[in-house]
Amino acid sequence: MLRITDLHAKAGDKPILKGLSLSVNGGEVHAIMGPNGSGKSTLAHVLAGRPGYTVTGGEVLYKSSPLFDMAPEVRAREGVFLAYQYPVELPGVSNLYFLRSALNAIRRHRGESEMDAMDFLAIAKEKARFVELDETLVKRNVNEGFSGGEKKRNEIFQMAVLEPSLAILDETDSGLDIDALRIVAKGVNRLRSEDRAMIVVTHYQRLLEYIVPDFVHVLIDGKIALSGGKDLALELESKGYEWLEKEPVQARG
Amino acid sequence: MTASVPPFSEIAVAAKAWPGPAWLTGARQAALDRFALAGLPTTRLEAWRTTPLPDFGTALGPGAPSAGGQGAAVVAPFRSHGAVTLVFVDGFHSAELSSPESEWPKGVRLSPLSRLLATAPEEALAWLTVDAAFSGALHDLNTAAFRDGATIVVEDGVQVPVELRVILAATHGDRPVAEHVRHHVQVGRGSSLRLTVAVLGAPDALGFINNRTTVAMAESSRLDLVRVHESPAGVPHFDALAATLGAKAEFTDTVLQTGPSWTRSEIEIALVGERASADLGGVFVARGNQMSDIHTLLSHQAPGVISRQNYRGLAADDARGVFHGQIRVEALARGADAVQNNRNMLLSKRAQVHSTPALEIQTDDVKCKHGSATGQIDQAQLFYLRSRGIDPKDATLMLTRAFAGEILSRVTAAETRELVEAQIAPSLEALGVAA
Repeated sequence: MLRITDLHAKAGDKPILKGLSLSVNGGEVHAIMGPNGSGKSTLAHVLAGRPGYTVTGGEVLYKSSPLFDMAPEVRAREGVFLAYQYPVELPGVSNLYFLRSALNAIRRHRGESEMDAMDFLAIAKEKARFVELDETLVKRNVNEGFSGGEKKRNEIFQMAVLEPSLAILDETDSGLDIDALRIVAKGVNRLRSEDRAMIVVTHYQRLLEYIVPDFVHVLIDGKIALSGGKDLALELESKGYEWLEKEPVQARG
Repeated sequence: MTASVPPFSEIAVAAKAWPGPAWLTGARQAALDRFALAGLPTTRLEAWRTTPLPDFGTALGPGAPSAGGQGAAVVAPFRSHGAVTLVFVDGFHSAELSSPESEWPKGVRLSPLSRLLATAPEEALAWLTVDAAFSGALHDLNTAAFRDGATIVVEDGVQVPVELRVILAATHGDRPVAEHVRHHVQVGRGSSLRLTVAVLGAPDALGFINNRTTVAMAESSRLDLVRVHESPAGVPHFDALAATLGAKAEFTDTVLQTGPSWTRSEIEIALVGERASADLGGVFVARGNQMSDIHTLLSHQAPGVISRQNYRGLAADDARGVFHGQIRVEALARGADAVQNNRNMLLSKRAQVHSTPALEIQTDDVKCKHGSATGQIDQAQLFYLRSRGIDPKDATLMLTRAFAGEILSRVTAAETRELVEAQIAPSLEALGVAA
């Protein structure tokens, strides 16, 4: 699904990713952990194609094609989805209209027919129930006046509607209380499937109690310093990141 | 060569043949003299500092009816939804395209101004000879040269059940011809009226539209005005609206200025009765080399009056926009409450918008707020849409539509809202997007 080889990238002028390599297969959930400033969000943004980042070296293959040859909207149509840490508010743009436009852009890309408003409404309602998003929020303007938890749930709702192949969740747990976290995690878990890969970027182990990953990678100073199974997250919870920052450790697992 | 003849002399010659009472002939001559003396406004005048006039060519002379039959097609979208229409083609009333008199609502005296001047000119004396504070050469030119317009008088205590529409169509295609049009709207005590005014034209029309409307609102009356300014590229449009609001009168105005011509709207509201309120809003969409200008003057003259202004502008390509919003609060206007907001979105590096608030406040007992912001399209919003698969052009359209949508949502009557949305859509779609 995704193969990242020796990726180097800058945010503005500052080198952030310094030789990151990672392989993700369909059906797998990979957690990316690491201290603040290690490059977790940069990785998420670079994969989605956000302006302001420059790739200075390495290669990323997505479904065997060079990812960086695709414009951000093309990546999305090919099935890349970024769930934002800070979802953007779009005053005056209704959630339903926005999402139907997005879904139809993807469907056109696949050579499928566009979906009309009526059919789409039925799907949106079903998916909203699936991720436990209040139906009134579905009809409001995108994220306008939503609470932090509602915004994150709206991201997962979008993911449910757009059915990506590769979902990147950027600090989806940040700013959520435990109840909101449970609901978001439940939505994500329901979307796990054999043909869908997920990259879960998080600072805290807490989220991984609810979204149990197949692999955990620790990002230190723009590189993966350590990889392991789900237990690695627990180890990091007790030991912190400091021991990894002091001396490089051989990758395990 | 007629081009070398100054337009005022052409008008003076033509006016000799126009019917009308002596006081009108006198008023026309006086206005023409003032126009001849002042000349066309230039950017040396404060009120025109940021708005150079277009090249009018020969389009400043007296108006003339056209022989072409394009009017019907131009006004067609507005002749629907059960509204009562008064249509003016090239500045002259078209009985054929207007609603039949049998459909005119009760309690409203509707008349083309040309007919009123022929039958009961004294009824027009009061408002035709009063000059608003927005005086200037183009206003004088209007007084000197108008031939027709809509006069609408709602009697006391009448809630007009249907929407009235005044529609102007410019259709001269062979040579540029001016149309100077004068309307008057009077809303009686406790009455209410919904009125839409559309200034339109055939795509290849040439000329100049000088459209002037006066509004007089009696105590506790209500007027909901919607105006669509969409004259074709070859027809610059100067528009003036002057309204006087009596006690507790409620006035709303929403203007959509969608080009593609040079367009300037002057809006002058005098809140003269206690607790009168004016809620104004508008949006311009400017592209190409278009110039779009909105000038407002809100004059607060009585205790407890309220004004709200919410204006937005979109400018693409080499377009230029102007918003100048003047708030004047006189000493008498204790407890006045005035809010003005202006936001502009620039869609290219070359597009410009000049936004200027101007406050003149003569009393301490006043609440007054104003804000202005001009910026580019929000990159974070744009990327959010793109990252969901939406291409940059569609994403931009979604954001510009949302930006203008806040103004469109002021139009609450469903069928009118639909009409204005359909009217503005092509202009938004035509906006050039610079990455």
